[in-house]
Amino acid sequence: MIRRIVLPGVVAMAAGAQLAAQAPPAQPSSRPTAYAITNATIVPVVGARITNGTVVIRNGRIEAAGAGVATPAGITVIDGRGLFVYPGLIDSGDRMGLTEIGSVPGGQDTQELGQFNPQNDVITAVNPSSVHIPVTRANGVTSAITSAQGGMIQGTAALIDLAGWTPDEMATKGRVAMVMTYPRVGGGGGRGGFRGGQGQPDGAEAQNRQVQELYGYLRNAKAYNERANPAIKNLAFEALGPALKGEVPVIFDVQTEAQIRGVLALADTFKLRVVLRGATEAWMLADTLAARKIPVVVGPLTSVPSGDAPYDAVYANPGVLAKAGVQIAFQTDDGGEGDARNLPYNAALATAYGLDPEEALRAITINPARIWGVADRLGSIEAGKVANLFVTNGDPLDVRTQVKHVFIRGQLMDWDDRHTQEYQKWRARPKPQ
Amino acid sequence: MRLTPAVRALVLASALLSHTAASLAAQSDTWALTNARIQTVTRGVIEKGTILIRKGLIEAVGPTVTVPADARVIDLAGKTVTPGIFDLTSSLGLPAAPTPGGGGGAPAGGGGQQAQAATAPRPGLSPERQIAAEIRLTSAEVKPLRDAGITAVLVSPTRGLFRGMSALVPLRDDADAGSVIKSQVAEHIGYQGAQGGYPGTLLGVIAYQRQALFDAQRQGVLQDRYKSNPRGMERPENDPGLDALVPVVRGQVPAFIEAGNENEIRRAVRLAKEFNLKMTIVGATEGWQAVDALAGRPTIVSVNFPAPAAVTGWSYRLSQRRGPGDSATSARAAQRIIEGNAAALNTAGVKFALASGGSRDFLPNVRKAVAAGLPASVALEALTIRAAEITGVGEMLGSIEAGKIANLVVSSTDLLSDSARVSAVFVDGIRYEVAPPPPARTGGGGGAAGSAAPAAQVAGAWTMTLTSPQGPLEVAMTLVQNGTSFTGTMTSSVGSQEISDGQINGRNLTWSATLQMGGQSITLNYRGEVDGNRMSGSAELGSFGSATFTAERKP
Amino acid sequence: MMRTALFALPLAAGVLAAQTPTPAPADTSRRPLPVLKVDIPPAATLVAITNATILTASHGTIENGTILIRNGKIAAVGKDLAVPAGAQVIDGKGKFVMPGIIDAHSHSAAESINEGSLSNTAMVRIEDVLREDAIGLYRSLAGGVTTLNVLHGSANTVGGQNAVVKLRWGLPVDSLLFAGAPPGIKFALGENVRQTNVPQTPGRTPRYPRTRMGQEELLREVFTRAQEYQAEWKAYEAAKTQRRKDAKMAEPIPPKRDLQLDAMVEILEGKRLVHAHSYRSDEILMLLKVAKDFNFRIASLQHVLEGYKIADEIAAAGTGASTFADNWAYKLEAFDAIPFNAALMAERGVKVSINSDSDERARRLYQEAAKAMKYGGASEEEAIRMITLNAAWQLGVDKLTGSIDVGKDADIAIFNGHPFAPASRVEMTLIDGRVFFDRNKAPTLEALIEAMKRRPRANTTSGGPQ
Repeated sequence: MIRRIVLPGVVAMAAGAQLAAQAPPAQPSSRPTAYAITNATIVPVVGARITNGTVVIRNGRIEAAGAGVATPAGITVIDGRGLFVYPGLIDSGDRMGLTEIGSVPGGQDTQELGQFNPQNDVITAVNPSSVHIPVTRANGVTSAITSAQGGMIQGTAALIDLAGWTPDEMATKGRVAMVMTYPRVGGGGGRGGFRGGQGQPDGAEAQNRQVQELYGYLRNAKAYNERANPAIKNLAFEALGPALKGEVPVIFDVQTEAQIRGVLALADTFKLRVVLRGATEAWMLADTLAARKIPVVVGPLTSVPSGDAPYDAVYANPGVLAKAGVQIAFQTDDGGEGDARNLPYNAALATAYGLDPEEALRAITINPARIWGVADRLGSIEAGKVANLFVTNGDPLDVRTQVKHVFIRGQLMDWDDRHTQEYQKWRARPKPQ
Repeated sequence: MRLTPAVRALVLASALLSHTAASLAAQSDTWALTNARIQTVTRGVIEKGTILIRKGLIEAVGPTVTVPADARVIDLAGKTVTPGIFDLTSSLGLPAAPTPGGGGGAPAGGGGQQAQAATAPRPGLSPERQIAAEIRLTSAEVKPLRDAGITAVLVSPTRGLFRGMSALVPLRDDADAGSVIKSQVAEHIGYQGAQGGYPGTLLGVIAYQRQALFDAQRQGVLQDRYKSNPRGMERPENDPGLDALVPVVRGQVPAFIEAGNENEIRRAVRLAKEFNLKMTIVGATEGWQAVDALAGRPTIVSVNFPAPAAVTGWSYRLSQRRGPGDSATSARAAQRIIEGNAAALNTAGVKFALASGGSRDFLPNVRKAVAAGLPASVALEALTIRAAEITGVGEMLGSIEAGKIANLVVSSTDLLSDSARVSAVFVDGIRYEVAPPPPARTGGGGGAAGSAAPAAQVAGAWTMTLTSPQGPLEVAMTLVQNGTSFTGTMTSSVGSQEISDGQINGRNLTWSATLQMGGQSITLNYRGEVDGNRMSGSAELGSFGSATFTAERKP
Repeated sequence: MMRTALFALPLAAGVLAAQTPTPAPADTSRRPLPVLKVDIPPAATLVAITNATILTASHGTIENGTILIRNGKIAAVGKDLAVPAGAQVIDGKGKFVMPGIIDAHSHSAAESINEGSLSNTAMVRIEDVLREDAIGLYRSLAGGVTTLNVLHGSANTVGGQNAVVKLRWGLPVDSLLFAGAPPGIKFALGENVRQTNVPQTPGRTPRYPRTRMGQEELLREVFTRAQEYQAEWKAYEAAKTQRRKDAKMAEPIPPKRDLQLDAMVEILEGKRLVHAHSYRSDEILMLLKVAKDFNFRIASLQHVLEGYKIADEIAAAGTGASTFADNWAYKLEAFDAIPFNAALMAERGVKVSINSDSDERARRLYQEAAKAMKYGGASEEEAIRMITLNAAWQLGVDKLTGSIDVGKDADIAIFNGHPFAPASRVEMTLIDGRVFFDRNKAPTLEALIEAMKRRPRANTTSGGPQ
């Protein structure tokens, strides 16, 4: 017999909340491992939309997705009439699990001392109980690249799913990339600016020194990694091995055109696979980046232009890159203020200023999956992929759209995030006398 | 003629006589400057004339003046004599201000009463301060200015809201309180916070000023009442600061208000109108944007030109579609307008004196103003007679007229010409020779004060205003220079940071400071350009974005 | 950092001239850029926006509607209105028109924000320190914002007086002030005032109050003192009247005029609107009680991130709430914030607005407002009101602006799609019927790239270590 659970609209949220309120914390083993979402519009991202489609999820994977897919027996059914199924969104840059409350230093693991920390693996510091995780996945963001900041080499970034009991469980790729920044004339790469500098080459000396340091450090690391049996181990240099061998990409958090040029030269010298991130001035080098097939993670779009840039420069940057043929993805760079869940709205801002909406959706699904080397598992709705997906009543880039269900690794997420919980609780407060 | 014994006796007698005359003259301060081209300023140019100086005053001036026997004669053929010029924006000879920081806020417990029980006047908050009593000039300080032709300066503090009563001081080597020309020229008002509490920002400064002037109005009323009939009336409080403001708020003592950009000028005018102050604006570097506000009273116009990026309206170009060659020509066009400030004011009929505004390029900048359209004659008047009138000494100084004080400049040609070389300066009739500049350095005319070292001098106490997306922040910065590098500290309401990587490259500076905030370490990177006692630039504030700043140094 | 580039740019097509019935042909002359100035749009004697979807904020949506503007005010709104001859016509076909966005919490355009030295700085005034050429104003105009509530910062329990401004870009600073806006003042409660999140300057005495209890004490103290001051002046006036009748009486001495207490008395007399930065439910309830005890109404609570917990109390007090859409967790007092805050308070009858408190957020308040529909199901019109009419009400200017109604100022934002739809952006922003932002004339990245293509780059920076 088909157990049919009809869960339209708000009732779904309330039911979920009630379930969560009554039941003890989720025990994965006692919950269903198979679902069918029926009669929905499926947006696979890699192909055309499928109306009246069915998605079958089993044992953490998408078993089938399509128009004529039959609903297996004995499976929990979610009625998708009037609803849409999208692949889970991927935020290519934030501090998920590394920060709780901004003003409380005890919960901040976003920045280590020192310029060079390639041996720092951020995955070990991810707090699976961070309140930001449920809050973020509630809007369909199911994966994130989390990494540290500060200094020239921050260590590795982790690609995590926003669910799991331990960091290792959460990790899709615990050491997905090495993270670096490129020294900037006048200082570190901030996000946007208010009134920037006047383009003077001041501080070139200081910046030059830092660049020399970076080159020197990488040269030493390269030499170390080329030795067969180093007498004294250097964990830091060792950690750079995969990046120097081109096995993992290197994320460069940069903003200006000068920085980007510097990165390209550095990449040539050390044969690095580069991903640019932030890159508000990447539009100046769009053709070069496209020709060199360098992916660019743009964002956050919620920042102001710096220097003499036009008022819409930050918003229009992604569109320019995409039109030139650059593979783009988005990051929110959320430092724990609730921005990560707004990933699709970053993409939406770009569509208002020249980015094709289809490309915008790709930039938060299949593009990052490809960039991070997990396109076989994530980024689209195709049979065989991991069942990270979410069900909505409309376009996820539209702020007004509501998310009905979120699946991570085939498990239906409870509406146990802090915000939904508090809303239910305080909405039910009786009127004061 | 044949040397008959009678003639010989006559010749001997006259030689003896002249010898006696010469020795008398050598010991007196009586001078006769002959054959000079004299720019009197008020009575036209005398192409070839004589100036007689006795007891520090100009005894006579004209094309034919009898030279008395006891005068030391200097033949100034080929030279030009001009009245000594004024710099009305000087802080020469003032003791260095104490370093910022320290001092408490409101008293603990109970919020209602926030009386600031001041024991000593706080720096910047001392309307009763008499600068005349504090003047102590050294010849080393005075000489470079005097060599440029400046013979009198109006000394006032450069920071604070009620800075005190300025004094007009002659640039003599031995100048002290006794030689002051005028000791209470005006009450100087500015817009920097006082150290150690309220008011700390521009907001507080203006509110404080208004409150103080209201209080002074009331104080005056009470004082009058008490004077006419003390019986039965509680006597007015004795408050030196307040008492000093009573004549200001009655228009009896002029108020010199420092205001540079358009909004500052309008703020100053608003204050003056609200309290009927007898106001003179000091600065008016954006005067052309506020000509309507400047009509009515003479202004002191500074030639310390702001950079285009610091001028009101510079950011307007970010909101307009760019024309050909935008940035470059806009900056140049803006620079022309900035340098044309005085010319624009002149065209609009505003009367003004020109002052250095703290710039070390006083005369070169005046020349730029002339090149930008200010008639040279107006410029010369602005440096001399207008300045004298504004400071209330128009009867004694500012032009070469009989009876006036002998403050004169002797130069190779027109003082405002690029090639002018000052050879001597008279202050109160005392002659100071000006040695020609050493051949190695080509002085760009007029012997401008000092010679620029390759690396700008940045040491000292600076007050910076940092403007970021989070709002403005006042920072006190102390720098210690070591050649082309520097160290120091920056202190503000968010804490105190050490400066690292301080580098100087000509006028350009870069440095960093690391801030601990909310558990994060944020490295702030600064980039600035120094011009004299001013600095401006930008800062990258890590994930908080970037900011711009301006800073001023207390000399 | 952008390198300077030499390029040529003809003005875009679609330039509108005043006083012509149809848009003028494109002006392709190379007008030199005005330096340190910007062109002021001409006065709006007669303007018509035609055939647009009008989101009135007060009485629903009008499809294919027309707005007639006469001398800066909305003269008529409706379908099938005749366009008078000589009107400057703005073709609204396919466009969405809404009232200009009102940001009830801004710190733009001020040279100084926080006089933090004292706990009560009611005497300081933002209007004394306004700056008209801050680029943030232009960028907000480009995001459809027409009015800002420029507030003092949150460094003190009783902060400074505010300034309500219209973004009349290019005009002198006095012309930015919103004539007719009642005066207001900023209060602040919670962590910022306690100064516990910033390191204390060594050697400096910490400023009272350091606890929330202290904040209440301070408020009651200052209002009590204000009442005494009020009484002092009343007594003085009475004595003066007496003295007029009895010349033998001693001349009464006027009390010292205190600018700070003047402002506090204005609050007590209901003449000065209080905008109170607050987060936690307990401190908000405290403030509402203080106001009740001293017989005045708090005009708006600002941030009020826990407002959803005490929505009924806030509604009962007749106080507005101006909040963020979904920002949270940056401070401890923001930890209980939920994105449902706005909708839940609105549901309980509170007049809610959504503000920016940031130059960056101000540019996209329309996107923020849409979140009230997503989180908590506010209606579209209610969400529109959160960035227009409700904010106007909180600032006391709802009779003058905030909705598209006859008689109100023609403060209007024109979008190329529904403001809440993803690909929408502002095309034009009008204030008093004058076009202060027009995307056709604005410097855009698109235009810059076009221009750069047409002229070779003059100074190229080389790659590699610089």
